[in-house]
Amino acid sequence: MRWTESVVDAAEDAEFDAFVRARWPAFARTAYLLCAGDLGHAEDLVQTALARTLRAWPRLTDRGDLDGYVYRVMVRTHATQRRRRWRGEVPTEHLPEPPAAGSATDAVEDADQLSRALAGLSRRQRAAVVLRFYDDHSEQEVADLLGCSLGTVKTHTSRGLARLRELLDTDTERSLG
Amino acid sequence: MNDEELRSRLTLLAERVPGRPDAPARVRATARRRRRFSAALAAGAVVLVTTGAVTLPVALTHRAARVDSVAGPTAATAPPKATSAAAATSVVSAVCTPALERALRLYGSIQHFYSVRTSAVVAASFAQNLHVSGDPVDFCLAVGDLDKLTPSLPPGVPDQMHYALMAAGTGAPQLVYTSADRPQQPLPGVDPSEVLAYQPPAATALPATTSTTTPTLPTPGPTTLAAAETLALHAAINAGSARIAWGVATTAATLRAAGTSVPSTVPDATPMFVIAVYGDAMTDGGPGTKPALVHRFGVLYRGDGSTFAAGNAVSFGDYFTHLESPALRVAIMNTLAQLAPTISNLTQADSTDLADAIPVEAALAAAEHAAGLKSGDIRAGDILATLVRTQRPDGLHKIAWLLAINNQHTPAVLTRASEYLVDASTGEAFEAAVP
Repeated sequence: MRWTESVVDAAEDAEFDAFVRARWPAFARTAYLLCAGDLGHAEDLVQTALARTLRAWPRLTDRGDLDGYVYRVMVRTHATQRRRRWRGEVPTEHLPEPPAAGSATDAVEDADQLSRALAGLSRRQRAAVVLRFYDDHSEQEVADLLGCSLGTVKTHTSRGLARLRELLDTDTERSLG
Repeated sequence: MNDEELRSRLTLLAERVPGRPDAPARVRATARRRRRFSAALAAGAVVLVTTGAVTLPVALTHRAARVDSVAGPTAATAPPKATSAAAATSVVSAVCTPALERALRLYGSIQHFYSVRTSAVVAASFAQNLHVSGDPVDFCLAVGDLDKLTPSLPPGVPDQMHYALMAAGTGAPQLVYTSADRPQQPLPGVDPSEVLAYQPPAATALPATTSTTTPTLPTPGPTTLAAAETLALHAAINAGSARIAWGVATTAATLRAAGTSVPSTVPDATPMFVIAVYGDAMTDGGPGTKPALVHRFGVLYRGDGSTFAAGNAVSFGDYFTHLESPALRVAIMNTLAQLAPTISNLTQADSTDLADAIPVEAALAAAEHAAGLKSGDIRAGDILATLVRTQRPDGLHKIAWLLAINNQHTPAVLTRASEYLVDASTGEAFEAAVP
């Protein structure tokens, strides 16, 4: 059956809206970490994942696992989207205009340091670390979300954590030195 | 760093994500645009596949027809035939339904309209991914200078679109395909010979001897930041809620120093404009990049008035994260109805008014100044905004930014007035209210 707006009746509309309103913050936070602190990309990712969920909404009979469905779409979209993204511009740390005075608080610096470190992980490593340590998914759940084996998740998590610690230590040393 | 510390730091980092009161609406808009765009792409692919076997003969025929029609001054104005040729199976008419005609006229200046009405079954077989409801389905083909369909390309550039087909049943019109050249299957069941070729305007206005040799002059590029902002905002197939977030006038040397890739053909001293656009938009991707649904994009223009042929827009599509000040705060766009302001006599402004409006962040700075606050006192995530028309008796401040500040992140002491009106042309904050 072809998807049309008429297929999703008014009750389902309201149900979907309520779901989005309730779960958007959680999805956005996970996406924010998956995108290593890039809010624009994170919101793109959540919107894309939820738009796909809307399309599949009439088929999603197991309303108890909606979160799992969205997380799966989000993680897999993230893996493919990042590969497709246009890379005509090269990101750099050097800004043409200095940041406003007083904006660099400790908390911001800490968050930026973690964002930079997350950006240094591979997509799969970052996904494994975020899903495991931020969303508190079990290793088996992470394997299901990523569509890989339990052993692969363990490898990604272990290497991701080691790399994250290494990057954070290096960054701290640089800022102190 | 142990696991617990990592959990804590990740949580703190994630807490920086602002809320989105309009999340359901944004998701639905994204879904609608993705669906329409997929249908248009798929339909275009079907047309390409079905015509692929005869591409060369068609191209040759098309070229010959074009030269013939340029030579004959009456050809461009001749009305389409009332009935189809022998090979055609549908009756083609020059009159489209008002909704389809209105939608197509938004794409540019139209020379001819062609219309057919088919059953839903025929429509579905013609464009298999067409999602129109109702039976019958009306198709309307527009031939002309569709320069607003691919606005990043100026008139005269070879891949400017000249043919666009839309369809509608009982719902909203949908774009089926666009083409720069005369399509082999222009309408369901209609012989291609029924459709007159696009006539370049310069060629029809001049004698045949000179019209064929007069090139169309490329459009000069922007020389002011305002002109660059207007170009950037219009560089989308569907502007949606796109608005200028910020713009910077700089030089090629500065951008290179900031790590931005600027072609080596652009001298260091060349003035450059960096324009960042926020909001949902369907961009055509610009030269060399694919169309995409984006929620923010950046455009880099040469500021010396160079034409596109010389590389006016040196980059398009991606976002200049590395050029954005970390102090920049993002306003959450809403509709007037969503904000439900206490300030009265306001109506929602048109999306076209956004082109001339100052960036909403500049309006926020003006509101902060008027309230006696320091720049940055109002926190990101607390700023809700919409563009409105005022109905003041003195006729001043016709278009304004309405800014509603809430208390979620901003200390309460700062919210002595939580609604502000800022003139969208002059940046003057002229009214404030405490709900």
